[in-house]
Amino acid sequence: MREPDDDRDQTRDEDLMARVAQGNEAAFRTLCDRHLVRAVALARRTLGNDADAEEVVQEAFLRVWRAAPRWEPTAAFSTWLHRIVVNLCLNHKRRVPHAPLDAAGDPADPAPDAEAQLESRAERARLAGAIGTLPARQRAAVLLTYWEGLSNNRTAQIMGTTVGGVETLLVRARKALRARLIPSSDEG
Amino acid sequence: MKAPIPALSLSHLEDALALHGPDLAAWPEDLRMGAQALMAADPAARALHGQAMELERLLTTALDGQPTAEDEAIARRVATRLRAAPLPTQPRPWRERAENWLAALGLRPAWPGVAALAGMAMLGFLLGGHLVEMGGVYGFSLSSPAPTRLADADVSGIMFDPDPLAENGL
Repeated sequence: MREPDDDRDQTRDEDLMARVAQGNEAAFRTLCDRHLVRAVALARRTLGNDADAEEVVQEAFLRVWRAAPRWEPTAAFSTWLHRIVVNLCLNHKRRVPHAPLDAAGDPADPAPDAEAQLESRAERARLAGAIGTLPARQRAAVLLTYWEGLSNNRTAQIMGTTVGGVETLLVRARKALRARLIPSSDEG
Repeated sequence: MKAPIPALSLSHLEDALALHGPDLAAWPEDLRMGAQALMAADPAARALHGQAMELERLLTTALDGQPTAEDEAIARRVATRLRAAPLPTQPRPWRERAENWLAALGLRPAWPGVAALAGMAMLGFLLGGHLVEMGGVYGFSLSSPAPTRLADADVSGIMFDPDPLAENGL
């Protein structure tokens, strides 16, 4: 039987949240379907561990469900969800040391050329390893900026800091990554 | 006369590359001019710029925001777990809880605002009655009888000396 929330592609996240606040489980499932994969992807790259990422993302969505009656749409739902996921990852990081993912997984849409694919995998693995050595907040800033493609302003909202704070984190992260990944030479 | 190009050190260039990225077109103009002058003169500055470009390329191509097959597999597992177990109870705001409690008793107000006003009026009535009773205990009364004769009343507050001019009939 079709439920009213089956028109999932047209309903705004904020409207779905209003239904979730009334205890509508179907609306909650629709939100999960929309945002789970990206939340998992971000958590895996921040934590460097699949089992931890799975645990963190499940907890993040349960928090969405519990907090829905008190949620005020002052920011986009996705910003709020990112904040929950990032905060849980950062708190998790304080307890468990980072273990970088191998190449952050296989691409979902592999390149046709096998050699290029191998090269790309090696490059991703190198980058994942280097990102794994960054302090947790620098890592989160890098992933929100590059992986999620967010502006410094939105990254600052998610991380609970200022734009200047994000810039400082990114400057330190880029310097550390450059030192680790890019061989220095006399002339570029 | 052209403004002098601001001098830039290698360390300053490194900071600027880490802050603004390797695309000099996006930099503030004076900083860009300083960087271009330094890079034209110093091979080490050109090397720094080349390294920053390589890092940016790596970050933008490897962190492409495309979920992988593993991401999708884990997301499916989380979705299955979220569907399998009953969702926890949602904590409700106190107002909603109060309304639900009243509704359970069959007393849910049709207009919460009017009900709140009536509640405040009832509270005021009860408090007023309580104050009257307290007055009897502590020696004051809001219902003490008014003086029956003018001689018993204290009228000092309204007495005044006669106007001397009026007294002389002027």
